[in-house]
This record gives sequence, structure tokens and C-alpha cells, in this order.
Amino acid sequence: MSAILSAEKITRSFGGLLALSDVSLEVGEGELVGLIGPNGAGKTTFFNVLTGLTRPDAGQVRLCGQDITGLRPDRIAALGLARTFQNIRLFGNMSLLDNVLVAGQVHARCGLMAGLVGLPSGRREERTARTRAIELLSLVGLADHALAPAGSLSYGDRRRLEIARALALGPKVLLLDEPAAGMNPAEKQGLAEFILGIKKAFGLAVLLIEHHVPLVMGICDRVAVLDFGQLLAVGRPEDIRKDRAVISAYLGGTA
Amino acid sequence: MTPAWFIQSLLNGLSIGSVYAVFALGYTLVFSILGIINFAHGAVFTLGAYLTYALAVGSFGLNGLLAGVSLPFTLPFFPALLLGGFLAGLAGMAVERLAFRPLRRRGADALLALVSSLGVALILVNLIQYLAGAEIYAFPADVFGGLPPAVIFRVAGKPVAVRTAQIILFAVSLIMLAGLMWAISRTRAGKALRAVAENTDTAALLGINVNLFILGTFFLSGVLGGMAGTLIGTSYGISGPYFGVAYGLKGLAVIVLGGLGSIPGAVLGGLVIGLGEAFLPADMSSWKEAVPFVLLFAVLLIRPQGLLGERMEQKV
Ligand SMILES: Nc1ncnc2c1ncn2[C@@H]1O[C@H](COP(=O)(O)OP(=O)(O)OP(=O)(O)O)[C@@H](O)[C@H]1O
Ligand SMILES: [Mg+2]
Repeated sequence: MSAILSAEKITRSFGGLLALSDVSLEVGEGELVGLIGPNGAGKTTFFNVLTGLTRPDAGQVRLCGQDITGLRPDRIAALGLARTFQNIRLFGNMSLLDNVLVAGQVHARCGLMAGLVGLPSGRREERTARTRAIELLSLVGLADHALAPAGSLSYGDRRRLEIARALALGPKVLLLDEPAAGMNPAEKQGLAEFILGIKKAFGLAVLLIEHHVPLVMGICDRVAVLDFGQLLAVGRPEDIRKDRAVISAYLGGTA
Repeated sequence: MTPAWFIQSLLNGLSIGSVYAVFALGYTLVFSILGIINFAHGAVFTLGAYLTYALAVGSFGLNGLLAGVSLPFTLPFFPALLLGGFLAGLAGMAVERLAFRPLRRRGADALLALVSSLGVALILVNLIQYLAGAEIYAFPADVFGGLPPAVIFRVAGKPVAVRTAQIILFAVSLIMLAGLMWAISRTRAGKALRAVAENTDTAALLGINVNLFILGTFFLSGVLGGMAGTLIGTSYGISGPYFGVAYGLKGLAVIVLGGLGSIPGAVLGGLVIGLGEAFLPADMSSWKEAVPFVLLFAVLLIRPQGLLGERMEQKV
């Protein structure tokens, strides 16, 4: 399997704290990889490094073979790496539709100017973008509220809107940071199926941070375990369950 | 208080207030994106007035370095206003590149940009003084071409005079305000701009080139400032290189009164202050400069977040 996203020996520290130490991980085309680990293990920092928000002290990130280390976040996003946030980050004052439209801009071929002065080509493109945004909203079941402000949504709906917005980038790889946080077991199950569904429908590779181990073990092709910035293990769920280091550091009671 | 006085004051207030709104929006745009006041905005306002003057009149006064120099061409007023505004927009971009971006890149405290923008303002103002002298510039009476200088009509037997300059002030400001509001709320670029304003990191992760939008914002802000300077200059004359200082402060009063960062707030604040000045009785006219700050003080006592401002929330 060819790696679509690969991180090689990523190291990052904050002051004296080593948040990531020599972490290497690959995600293959169409693969769903789970990333688990206790609080403060460095999972979100790893996402921040991948997406260009945080520069690694050392190491390299590649997307489709291209070195993207140190690129601006918007360039990385445009190259096909999209994410959601642990602490949801919607544009609360903007409508659901506008939240999704903002992300679709990367694919606008006409310049912003064309849309600004209302050229026919710009208008046509604006219409297609709108149609696509509505499709994405209906995919996550929110099309009925397209014009409501994002701030008015319930917690679970916000998480789903964030996913729709990330998908609007037309990504090759989707990074989900605890998308099931705060959901009840039934909602979590629904989300798991939803993730599998979009992965298949969009041909996505997905890297999923999630604390709920059974969910991760249930849907992921492979699982990586981080602890204190160290990658303890990577492997198929059934192997991870048996891994001694993982059991003692993290799975303890759960396995 | 006659009906004619009331109508006259109302028209005067709306006219000047709409220009205050245009000018103040320049502050608001930058503030809503970077969370800081651009102290060079008043200098760009001054620069815009001088540039339009130069383009429309073709000469540069008597005691600056450019005294005696004349442009090989002059433009009619409206093309000069637009070109002057455009050039002021470029000056706004220069302010971002010189005063704001270098500090942002190094992750400096946002407050420091306040100082560096003040520095750029001083440089601009001194440059203007050096080149164009310290004298007063008045646009020639026929700057609007063949238009009559004023429209006079009667209300309850008393005359009300509306100067052509005032009508142009009001009309141009209204068009700019409406255009800007439309662009921000309806177009893709406007939506991206709002996204950048809400959270720059998140906007970047959605593929938006944040620095480009910040640069564009400074351009727009410069256009607004420069055109406001021209409009006020045509109506009241350009009082010298420090022309923009008093208006710069007034603009600050406008945005705080309206609510920091709020676009409708800047418009409302501009109108309130313009009307407040216009309705000041004639025998108190020496207090005119104090009006914005008295209004500001009164409003902040009742609404600390300004007329249309939201309560300050910590940016996450
Ligand atoms: N910008 C920062 N400055 C300083 N320390 C940071 C910064 N970002 C993260 N850290 C620290 O790095 C460590 C890893 O944090 P990170 O958010 O990556 O953990 P996590 O695995 O996502 O945890 P959680 O499960 O709680 O989300 C933590 O100790 C955190 O305090
Ligand atoms: Mg985290």
C-alpha cells in the first residue's frame, strides 16, 4: 500500500516539555488509522504539525510524496489535508452554508475579483459552490438549517458541520480530532458508521483521534498509540490489544 | 429652533456623519481582523486628500520640495477622487508591510504594532510636509466642474442651503458604505474576510491565504481613509500635513461609540457624531471638537461595549 500521508521522525517540544519525540506514522490511500493515547500524549500537537499550524523542531511531513513541512497552513489545506478540531471551531456568526462555502474557495478557478464584480463566470462558479455546499450539508443531515447561524446548533450538530466544512476542501486525507467527544453511545455508533461511509464515498484516507477505544478498534484498519510524545505501537487493532507496552501504559483496565 | 434650522442641521449632520462613517470603517476593518487600531489611518486620510488635490489641481503649493512642480495633466474631480483613493489604498498596504507584518511574523505582542503604526504615521506626515509644505490647501471653487456651488430651498419661509460639496460627500459615502456592506456579506471574498476576522488559524486551515486577506483589508482601509480625506478636504480645505490628526481621533471616538469591530456600529457612530456636531447651537460652536468625546463618554456610561458592540470576549 502506498502512503498518501507520511510523517517521519517528528519532534516538537514546548519549553522543556517534549510533546512529540521521533514520531513516524504513515497513512495509506483509503486507509482509516486510529490515533489513541492518554490526555496530553501529543495527539493534537501531531495534527497541528501535520496541518502546518505548529512547526516541528525536526522531522518531515509528506503528502502524496510531496514534502509539506513548513508550508503555510492554507497551502497544505489546498493540497488536500483537511481537519476538524477537538474544541470545535466554527464561525459562529456565519450561517451553516457560509461556513461550508468558506472552505470551498480553494477550488474556485475564477479569481475572487470575478465574484466580487459579478462576472458571469464568477456567478456561475458561486452557484456551483453553493449547490455543492448544500449537498455536503445534506450529507451530514443539516441542509434544513443551511441559513441558520452555526452558533445556534447543538453540540453534536456542530461536530457534524465541522466535518462537512472539512469535506468542502475536497481533501485526500481527513484528520478528525475527537469527533465523538461528548456524544452518547448511540450517537458514537452513528458517527462511526458515518465516518466509514464518507471514507468510502470520497475515497478518503482518515486519521482519527478518539478516546473511546472500542470505537477505534471497531472501525480502524490500523491503530497508533501515543504516550508522552512517544509512539508506543502501530498495528492492526487485534495486535494493539495484545501489545504489552500499550496495555501497561494505556489500555490497562479497558482491554 | 426653527424648522429650517432643524432641516439644515440634519442635512449637515448626515453629510459629514456619513464621511466619518467611511473613515471609521477603515479602522474597523483592520481592528476586526487584527484586533488592533491602525494609528497610521489618519495619516493615510491626509495623504489621500493631498493626492487627490495633486491629481485634480496639478500643483503642490508654494513652500515644499515640490513647490513650482506641476503635473503634466490634471484629472476631473471624480477620476481624481478614485485614483487618489486607489493610491491611498496602496499606502495602506505599505503600512501593513512596514508596521504590522514584520511584528506579526515574529509573534510580537499586538500592542507593539500600535507603536510601529504611529511611527509610520509620523514618517508619512513628515514626508507630506517635506514635499508639499505646511500650508493650507483649498480645492478651487470650480473643482466639481460646472455644478452650482449650492442648492437653496425654503422651509417654512426660511432658506436652507445645501452645498454641492455636502451632497457629493453624502452620495459618495453612501455608495461606498452600501458597496462595502454588500461585498462583505454577500461575496465569497467577503465571507472569507469574515472567516479571517473570526479566527485566522481556522481560516488558514480552510485554505484561505490569511496574509493576502490582511493585505487586502489594509488596501480597503486605505481607500476608505484616503477618500474620506479627499471628501472632507473638498468641503473644508486641507489644513496642512496634520490635517488627519484631529479626524483620526474623531474616528476613534466613532468606532468606540459604535462598538469596536462592529461595521454597522461604525456607520451608526459616524452618523451620531456628525449629527451631534451639526445640532450644536451656534453660540456653543467653540465646543465642536469636544462633541464626539462628550457623546462617547455619555454612551459608554450606559453601554460600555458601545452602541452596537458585543461584549468583549477573549479570543481563543
Ligand atoms: N502551544 C503549546 N504551548 C505549550 N505547550 C503545549 C502547546 N500545545 C500543547 N502543549 C502541551 O503539549 C502536550 C501535548 O498536548 P496535546 O494537546 O497534543 O495532547 P493530546 O494528546 O491532544 O491530549 P488530549 O487528549 O487532552 O487532547 C501537553 O502537555 C500540552 O500541555
Ligand atoms: Mg487533543
